[in-house]
Amino acid sequence: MRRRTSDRVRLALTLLGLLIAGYLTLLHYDSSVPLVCSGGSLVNCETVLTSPSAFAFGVPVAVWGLLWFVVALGLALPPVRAGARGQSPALRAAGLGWTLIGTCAVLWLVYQELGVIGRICAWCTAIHVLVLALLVIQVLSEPQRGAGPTDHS
Amino acid sequence: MARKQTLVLIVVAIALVGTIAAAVNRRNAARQPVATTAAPIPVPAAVMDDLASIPPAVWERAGTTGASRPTFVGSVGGSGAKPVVLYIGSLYCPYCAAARWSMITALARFGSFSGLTYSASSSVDVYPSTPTFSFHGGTYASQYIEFQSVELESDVQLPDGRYEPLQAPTAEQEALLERYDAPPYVDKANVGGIPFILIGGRYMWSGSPYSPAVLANQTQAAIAATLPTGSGDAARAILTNANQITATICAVDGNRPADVCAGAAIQQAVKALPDKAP
Repeated sequence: MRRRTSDRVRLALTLLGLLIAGYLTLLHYDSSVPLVCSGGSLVNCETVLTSPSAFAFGVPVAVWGLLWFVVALGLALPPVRAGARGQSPALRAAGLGWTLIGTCAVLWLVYQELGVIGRICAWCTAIHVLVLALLVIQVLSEPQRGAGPTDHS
Repeated sequence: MARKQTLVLIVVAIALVGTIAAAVNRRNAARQPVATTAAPIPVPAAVMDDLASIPPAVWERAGTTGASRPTFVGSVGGSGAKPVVLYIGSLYCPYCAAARWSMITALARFGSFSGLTYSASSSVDVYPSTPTFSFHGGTYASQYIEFQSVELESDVQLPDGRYEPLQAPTAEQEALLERYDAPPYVDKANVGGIPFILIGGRYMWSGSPYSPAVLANQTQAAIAATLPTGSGDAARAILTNANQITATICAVDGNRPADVCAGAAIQQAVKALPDKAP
């Protein structure tokens, strides 16, 4: 994938994740915010969001998600700003490491939804897909050993 | 694609597939029917004491501010000598789990329970495993009121997603549910909602009196221990709603017993009760 395109897609996906995580956080703290989600026997956001699995270390998982996307945004912005000058290897490694941490959290949350709660939260699934997509983008845009600048746009 | 990149993506894909497989496997194992259902655990005497020994000063302090108000449904009257307090709910239902706390603490002011057991709402519904008690198998004796309870379904989920039937209402109870748990007394969206509580044929609640979230991640004994002091969110929610229930009972049983009904908080709540049907 061309580096500048992948950086912009990464930024867009991070912003989208930030919005969804912000909405889920609002749901936790403001009961007047409507939950737009199916209440069925498989897809049921309310069941997932009110379960004990919706909390980690006493803090709603949505808040952890919001924090994760805030940091991810901080890591996704510099490459877009740098443009053709490229991204520093340290920042690239930090971005990849952060996304791998997010991926581990996604695996744990998927297990909680499917294995423990038995219900799926559509909004949470959207966030899981975004994190996995961010990982794929970052892995694919990693420069190959011995390759020159990857920006061709 | 470089070999290292391919390897990372393959590892992540395997981890994802493995996670989903492990989760589905765990879920299927949990759904296997158990050979025997665990016997209900009787509520220990110390916990019953906490539920029934709340000092008058704590009741006064709790008041009814923020409590769920009943709906006036008219004067249905009753065939018996004592006003009937009717509760219809289900063990899987987290809102019924919350309501039972207030029901028990309120009714314990007019009589005494025996044979209550520990229970918890469904582990796969909203507010999972809300700690509570079961009226099923319990008895209640009072010289002022008659208490009727119906736990329609248990907390054991069947393979088709429904819950195991437990108790069937009488024809009269079913008629009351159909008549009053419907418009104009409740919204169209909440027809037939539980818990359904009807006091003296005059005051009705349909749905949760307060959020079961305040009871989450605590044991029945721990919550009960907070009641005699009225401290904490759970105790406040339980006691304010219990005072509201108490006020409706006082309003239909002639304000008896006096030591319960003459309290300032109860008298204030009695005066504020609705007297017109919606």
